[in-house]
Amino acid sequence: MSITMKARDVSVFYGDHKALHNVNLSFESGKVTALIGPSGCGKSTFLRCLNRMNDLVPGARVEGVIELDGENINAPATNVASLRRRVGMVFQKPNPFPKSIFENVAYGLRVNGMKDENAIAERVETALTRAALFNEVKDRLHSSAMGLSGGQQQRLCIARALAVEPEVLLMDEPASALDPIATRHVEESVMELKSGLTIVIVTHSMQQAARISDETAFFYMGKLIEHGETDVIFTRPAQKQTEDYITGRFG
Amino acid sequence: MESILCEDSPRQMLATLRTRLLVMFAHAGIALDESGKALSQDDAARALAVQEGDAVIDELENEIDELCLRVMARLQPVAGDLRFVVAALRMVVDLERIGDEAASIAERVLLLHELPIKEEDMRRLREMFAQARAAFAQAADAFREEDAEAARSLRAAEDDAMQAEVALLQALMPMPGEDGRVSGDPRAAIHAMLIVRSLTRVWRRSANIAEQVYFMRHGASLKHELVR
Repeated sequence: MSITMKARDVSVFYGDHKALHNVNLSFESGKVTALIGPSGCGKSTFLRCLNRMNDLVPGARVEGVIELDGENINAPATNVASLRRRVGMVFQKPNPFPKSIFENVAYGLRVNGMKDENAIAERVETALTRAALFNEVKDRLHSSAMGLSGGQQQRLCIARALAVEPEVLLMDEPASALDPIATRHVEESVMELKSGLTIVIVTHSMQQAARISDETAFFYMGKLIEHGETDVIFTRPAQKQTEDYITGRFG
Repeated sequence: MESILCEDSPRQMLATLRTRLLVMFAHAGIALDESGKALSQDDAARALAVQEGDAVIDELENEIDELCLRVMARLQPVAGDLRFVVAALRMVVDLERIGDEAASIAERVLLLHELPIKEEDMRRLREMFAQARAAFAQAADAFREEDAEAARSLRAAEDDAMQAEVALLQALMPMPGEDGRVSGDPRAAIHAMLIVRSLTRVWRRSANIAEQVYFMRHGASLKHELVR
């Protein structure tokens, strides 16, 4: 397995407050990595470092190196728009544009300058299929995305991120606002997607992390406490803090 | 004092599972002790009580199985909690069988009641009973104290049990003397040998329980370690 993204000694400051302490973590292509930990532990802060979403936070400062295929994403010459095309993101709440289903997925392609309508239609269908949504919406592609259910909207957002063919997909609690059936659909689509893609997912659901991830990283108080294969983390974690958190003995 | 935990809180459910396992350990231990006393004292009433008491151990097995299912369904345990539930599901099988072996020994005591058994053979049976009982006590202590090292020290118990069984079966086998006559009652010898089989199983199942205690603590199998 090749390493797609690599964080070396990454720290994040909000003003004088050090929110993340010297994190070292690598993400392999074709694998899903779950970031877990209590609220405020730094996992979402770390996730946002991976496509420079922290640039948008006033007073935020990132130290250390994050490499995407060997290139430092924090280098001054980095084209942030290009970075975010290669490192897509799906957020906690579904956020479709008030456009048709088709146009939601086509949006990124048009922004990136694609004009061939046949090619766009092909990419839209592929992205919707990979997000396990196409069969449910193929007869109403030009209806408003706002008429979809919550779970369908979230898969639409996944399709929208996939349309521009990213190498890495970041997911920040993508199923936390969904019912169990919609959650299952999203989880299934994540597992379908991982081939050829690097997926990093923040989740508060231990069961979800155990179900869908290949690797798990446990964060606590801004530090990476333990990282390893999900099978190992959820059966015999090495660190007591990890054991206490995943078995609900924290606090 | 009344517990402040609600009955079905995660911690309470796991604590209940542990408590019920300890109760099952105690019942299996008492059944063994009573069957041993029935054997030593040729006490038919005690032997009958052991047989009747086996139903309690069977009920505990069902109860603990059910509790494990509820814990899995409701808590979806991971890490140490998961290993504990998996080990519990395995240990109840061994404990239930140890109860069965105690009942089986009691049955043999009843069948031996009218038969003559040589004092030397009875001494050998008592010795092996003490060894099997000690292995069970060690496994129970290891579980109660969550002591993986104590559990590990039982890893040779299977071999010990096998060797003791072979030696005792050879000693109990009715053999013709120089005059060609077989001393002792062959029926008594058969019952004594079946008691030896039961004691071997108790001893080996105690080793199984110890393996589960080790697994609970370390998530590793002693059995595989032995194979290597």
